[in-house]
This record gives sequence, structure tokens and C-alpha cells, in this order.
Amino acid sequence: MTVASLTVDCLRRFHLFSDTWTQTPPEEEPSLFGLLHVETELGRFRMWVNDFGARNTGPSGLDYRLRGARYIYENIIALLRDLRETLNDGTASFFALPSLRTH
Amino acid sequence: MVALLGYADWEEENEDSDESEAGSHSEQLGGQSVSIVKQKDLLEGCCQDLSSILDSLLHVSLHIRGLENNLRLTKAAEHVELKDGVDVLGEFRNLVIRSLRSEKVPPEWLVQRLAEATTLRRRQFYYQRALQALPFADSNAKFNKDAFDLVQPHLSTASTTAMTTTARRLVTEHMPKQQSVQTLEIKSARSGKRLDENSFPEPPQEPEGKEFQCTQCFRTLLAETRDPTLWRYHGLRAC
Repeated sequence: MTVASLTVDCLRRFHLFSDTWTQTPPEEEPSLFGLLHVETELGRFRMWVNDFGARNTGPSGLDYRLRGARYIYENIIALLRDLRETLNDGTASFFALPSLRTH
Repeated sequence: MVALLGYADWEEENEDSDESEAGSHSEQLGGQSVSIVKQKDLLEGCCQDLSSILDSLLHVSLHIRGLENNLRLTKAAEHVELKDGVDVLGEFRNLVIRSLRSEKVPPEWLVQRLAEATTLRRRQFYYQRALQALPFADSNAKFNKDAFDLVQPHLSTASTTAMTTTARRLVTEHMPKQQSVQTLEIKSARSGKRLDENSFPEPPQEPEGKEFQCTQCFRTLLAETRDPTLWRYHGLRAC
């Protein structure tokens, strides 16, 4: 699994998570966080992706640029995997809500 | 509709998580409100995890940037300017904070950030000044040390005053009246300048009539800036 493919996957899941949140009725949203928080986090992630060219393949991509820094590369891969799992769990908990089940 | 489509996509990708989903579905039959509270907690946990993971990603990115470290900026940021054993820049930072607070800049974080940025800029000036002084100090280090050793005993205020008094007495005894007044003025001005450490620096006179480099901020300035008013304005505001 490369940084580029993981990043694309995470972005797709992030958008799905955000879209699902918009479908949720306000009374079923968590009290501490709102849609704005998710959109802010999505913005931060997109900023990181575009800033470092994480989606790119070839010499401009992170996979190539970090070939000499194995420790950082593995750290990023682990973090992206965590992010994917978290988004997965978040989406799962949304679909378990009765309102979205009965849509 | 979007949610249903999204659910279909998500279900295809996560076939292995169907068991837990089924579990939560059976819980819905037991009591929907309990399920909703539980899902809300899960979502809150997810949101917190998202924030912390993205924080870590951005933190790791600092290391990626760190691979191309700018040594000159790092050195400038670590420069310490001491005067009489006191960190001048620390005092300068406190002054900036006090000044910003008196101007009622609303949030405290903005005051801190502005003070930090202004101090960093000042620190870079001091670092550049120290760098510029370095070759001179190296080539004339021995000469300067010898000269300093010779002059040092006479540098205290008391001895300077005594020297001036002796000079005045000698001058008034051995010179005509008109000349002695002029010499006395010069003598007192020189010793006064030496004692007064807070005097405003003069602009450099060389190269005459041409652009010159500011001794404080090292910018190239127009020849007209030697005008005392403009020079003072530059030193206090624009420097």
C-alpha cells in the first residue's frame, strides 16, 4: 500500500463521512461536535494532501521523496491507516442510526 | 438518497463489519434511545480521533520540512543578545507586549504572536549585525584587546570626570580665552557622549552623497535619509 493510494482512499471515505453527516437529523448529532468540525478536519486533510503532493505519483509524490527517510514514511503510512479505520468506524456508527436505516 | 447510495458503497467495502452492525441493529429493537446515545458517543470518539490523527500528520510533516533545514534562520532564531548580563531581546519582547496592550489589541493570543514575530525580526537584525562585526573583530582582535587594556582603567565615570577637570584647568591656564572656550566645549561633548549610552546613532557618512546601508537594519537607504528628521523617523519607525 503506497501513500498515494491510501490518501486517495482516505479522501473518498472522508467525503462519504461528511455526506452522511449532512443526512443525519440534528437531534442525532453528537453534542460536542458538528458538521463544521468535520468540514474543518476535511479541509486540514486536503491542505496537507495538496501541500505535500501526497496524492501524486512519481518524483513529486511523497512515496518517492521519502524513499531515504524510512522512519517518516512508515509513520505516515500508519497514520493514514488509522485515519481510514476511524472514518470507517464513524461511517458505520452513522449507518447504525435508526433514521438512516429507515431512509 | 445520497445516504443510501453511500451506505451501499460502504457496505460493499466493509463486508467483514456486518456482524457488529447486526448487533447494533438488534439493539435498536431493544431500545432506540439507548442505541442513539451509544452511537453519539462513538461519533464523538471518532471526531476526537480524527483531530488527533490529523494533528499527528501535520506534526510529522514538520519533520519532512526539517529535511531541508535552513541553518541560517535557525542560527538567527537562537541568537542571544546580552548587555550587562541581561537578555536585551527578552526585555524588548516585554516592551512590545506592554505597548500592544496599551493600544488595546483585543485577543491575548494575537498580542503574543505579534510580540513573538517582532522579537524574532529584531533578533535577526542583531544576528546580522553580529555577523557583520565578526571579520572586523577577528582581524583587529589583538589590537582591540591591547587598546582596551590600556584604556580600561580610565573608563570609569570618576576617572573621566577627573581627567576633564585637569584638562580644563590646563587649557584655561595656557591658552587664549576664545580658543579655550571652544576646546572646552569639544572636550565636554566628547566625554558626555561617552558617558551617555542612550544617544541616537548618527547615520553613516560614507559614501558621501550616495546611497548607504543602515547600521541598524542593514537596508540600503537613499542619500536623503541622512537628513536628521528622516533618519530619526527611519530609526524609530521604519527600521
